[in-house]
Amino acid sequence: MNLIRAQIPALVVTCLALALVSCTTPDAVSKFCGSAATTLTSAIPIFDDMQASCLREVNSREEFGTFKLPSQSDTNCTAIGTEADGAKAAAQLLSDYFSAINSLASFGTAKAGTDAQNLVTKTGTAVGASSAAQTALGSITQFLVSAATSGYQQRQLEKDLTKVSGNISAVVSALVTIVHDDYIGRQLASEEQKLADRYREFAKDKSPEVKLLLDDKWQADEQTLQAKRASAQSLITALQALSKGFADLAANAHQLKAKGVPGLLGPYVTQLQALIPQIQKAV
Amino acid sequence: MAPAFPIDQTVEAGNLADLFNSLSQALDDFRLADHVPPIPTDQLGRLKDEAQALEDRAHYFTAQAIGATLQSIQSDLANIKTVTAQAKAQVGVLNDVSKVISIATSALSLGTAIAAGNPASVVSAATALAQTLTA
Repeated sequence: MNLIRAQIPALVVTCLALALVSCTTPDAVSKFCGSAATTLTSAIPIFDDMQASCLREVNSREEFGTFKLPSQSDTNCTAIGTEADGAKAAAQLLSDYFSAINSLASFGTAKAGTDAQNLVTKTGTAVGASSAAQTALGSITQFLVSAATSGYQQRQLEKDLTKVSGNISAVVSALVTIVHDDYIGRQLASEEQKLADRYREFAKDKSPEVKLLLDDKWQADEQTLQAKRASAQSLITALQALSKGFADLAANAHQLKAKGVPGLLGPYVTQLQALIPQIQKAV
Repeated sequence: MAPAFPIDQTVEAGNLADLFNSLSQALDDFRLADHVPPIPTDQLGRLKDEAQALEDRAHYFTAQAIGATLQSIQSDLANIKTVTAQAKAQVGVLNDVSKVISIATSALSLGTAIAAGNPASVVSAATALAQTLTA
């Protein structure tokens, strides 16, 4: 009987430890949110280029060889810049959200448990408890504090993910519209077309040698525009992946401890991390 | 009386931007094409000016389109901002729990060191507590 009694603390600790091992920390959530925040930060230079693209188009109206100083401001380009600042602010707000969720998801509840264990062990020493009792109390306390903070963390994550599920989708969709329709479809397209007109105008009645030189310069300008377009396309793909990944995450918010969650989010994280350098390339 | 079909301002502004851009490009294409007889220089200048004015209108409506898109998500942004503040507060709660435990652990170490009467231990424990309190 005494042998059994002596073994009870060890058995309790083992059972509690096994229970703790089966709980999965929201590490996958943290990784996804971290990638999402970085993706949104990468969008900022693209929104900045909206006003710049407009000004480049305005300045391309001057004929080659006039050597006029480029205009730094234009009323309508400034208006585009003001609205683009609004898009930047929206992207930044989304990034702040994902950063906050990242902080919540990556909070080390295990450390809180370890600190609590140390406290209880020291208390036990101070009051002269036996070493076996100190060990058992310490382990139980570690589990309880970890479970309590982990439980709080899980509940808040579930709430914070589901509350804004539709809102995240709407904002990302709006940012995709602005990049696809306004930046790529209007700004870059008209800049490219008007630049081509500038070369066509100058090339009229010029010798073949001059036309060849102009063509080289045109190809270089065209490549720059293509690179900007490619960066923006990568951003669109990343934003769409972010939206889908978040929808899956929110749908599974009630079971963040499930083993399937890392597998669910893993492909999105991989995709975002591959796209981020492509977004940052040209702008 | 409300319109039968609600106007989507983003779509309408975008369509106008595209229309003015197309008109501007049509003028430039006409101006830059070969004509027999050639277009007089003063008329070429006017055509270019008109094409640029049309492109300015396109820029104006592009700005309007972006603004309309952003206007449509203002309530979404407000909700996200609120939840973000709540999430940050929740991290604060978890940090407070950790800090309280750390302070208590450091304070207990100091008390134990004082009771044992070991000066070196007292200094070490006091330093650790001070660091925890200012962390």
